Amino acid sequence: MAEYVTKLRNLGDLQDGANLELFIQDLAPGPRKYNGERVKAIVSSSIDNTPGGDVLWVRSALGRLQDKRWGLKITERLGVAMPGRPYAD
Amino acid sequence: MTFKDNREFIEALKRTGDVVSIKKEVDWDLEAGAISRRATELSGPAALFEKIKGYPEGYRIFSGPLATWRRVAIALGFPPDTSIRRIHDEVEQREQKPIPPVVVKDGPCKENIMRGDQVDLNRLPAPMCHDGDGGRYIGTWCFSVNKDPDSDWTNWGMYRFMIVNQTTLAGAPAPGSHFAMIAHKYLSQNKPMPMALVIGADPLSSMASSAGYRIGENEANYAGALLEQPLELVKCETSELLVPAHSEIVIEGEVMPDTVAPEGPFGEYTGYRTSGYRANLMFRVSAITHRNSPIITMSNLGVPPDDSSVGGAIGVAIALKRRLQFHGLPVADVYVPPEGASLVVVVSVKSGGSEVAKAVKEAITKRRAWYTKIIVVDDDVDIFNMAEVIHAFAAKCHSYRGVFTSEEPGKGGPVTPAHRYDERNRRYGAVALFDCTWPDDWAEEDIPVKSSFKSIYPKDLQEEVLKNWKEYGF
Repeated sequence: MAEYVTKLRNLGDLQDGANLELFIQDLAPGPRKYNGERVKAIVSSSIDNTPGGDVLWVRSALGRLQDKRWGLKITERLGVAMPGRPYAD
Repeated sequence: MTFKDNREFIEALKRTGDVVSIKKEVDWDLEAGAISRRATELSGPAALFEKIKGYPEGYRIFSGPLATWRRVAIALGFPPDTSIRRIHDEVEQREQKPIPPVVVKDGPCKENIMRGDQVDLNRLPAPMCHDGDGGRYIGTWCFSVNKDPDSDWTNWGMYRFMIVNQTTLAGAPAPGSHFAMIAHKYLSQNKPMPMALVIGADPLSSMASSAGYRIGENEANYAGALLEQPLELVKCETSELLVPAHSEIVIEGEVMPDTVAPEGPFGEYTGYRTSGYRANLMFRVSAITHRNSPIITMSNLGVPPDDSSVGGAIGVAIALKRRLQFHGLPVADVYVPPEGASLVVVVSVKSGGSEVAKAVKEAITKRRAWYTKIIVVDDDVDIFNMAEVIHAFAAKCHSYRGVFTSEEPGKGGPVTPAHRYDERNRRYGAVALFDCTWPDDWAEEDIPVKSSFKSIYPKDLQEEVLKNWKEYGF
């Protein structure tokens, strides 16, 4: 079971069973720790209800760690780049 | 004597006790950051982490290169106990004599080259600086190099850069920066912009990159001025850009016009983590070159003082002084005190009054309103001594008539802690001027008499007292 962390601007987006596009970062120890990728994933408020899934830690946009861990089932890997223009966000 | 690279500089710091070489293995994941932060907050020595967990022998992190005035003085070739005023005066004098760089064919930064599929940012011990940061920041005390497509202007700028994955960085050069002025020329035409990220250049080149140097003029010339000799530059492997040949690490690549990457947040120079996670510049890496046993420089920013508010602020103060002189204002000195986290600027003027003070504020906020508090004092105040500045603020700033505020929409800094989250995002700016000068319409008899040793005793008595000081028993 892998562990990831994501940051959310709106913590309210995290709803049980929601299929979200997230930027997740790998928490496995080693030189690749914190490398990230965009994914589509179904999140679950219960890790036990995510068979074959992974663990997702959540931080706010300013980096505050939330107490609750979520289950994560990655459905699609989207790479790193996000369509968009620099300085538009 | 100045230093051609960080290694010579580190050796000089060892001789004066201004760096601690840490032989114990340290984790790049928060531990190096925590050690560095504490040392910085204590205004202690710089840290050279010599053994980084999970990385080859010899791969090192050097933190806090210019986070104390002592280290700035040493970098300039001065004794460590040189006064802040002397340091500012020296930088100001050297800045007036730019020295163009020379281009060399090879340099230590080419000792190891990764290209194409070999590129792997994770092979370098980039630190995870603060718990909750957006990722590993390989670029904290580093500078970008980008070139204007329409002229010979090559800009250097110091901005944070985060590892996204093995081949991608995301960075946060500010929208109103010189970097962005050049970037818009490429990106608006949907062209990628060649860029290099220089990590671990000599200390004065890094200092030059963080200064607000003039638009259209090359920081490499400024670096030469500070070094008092031409800086050696070498061509990149995958672009025409030139970078300091004695740098520790050079990351080459392109900023993409049509894609962005997640970046941030990061504990910033204001002492807070204020700008959230956002889609920022995506820097796709085409090559990495580095010296044998490379040394990553780290400035673990946060509550001041640190490299940004000490070494980085001198050039900014001098640039502001030039701007005030350009506007014909009677400026004596400008100081960006470390305690003010680059949000406060102190200006002394040869002749004051509210109109002069307001003109100072107007000139400083013309393009950007990142300094949210401007303190203007008469030139009998030593602005490099914050005790004197606070005294002038307390005693001379009229709490009603001496405070002038303005809103500066679109000019604000993105990381101003006092601003609401939405205000930071839309670059809302607000500035307060504290006029601590005597009003120019007061009669001389009405001006309070300053009761200090320097001002209230006859000159010959002062000299006598100073001469006998030790004899009195002090």
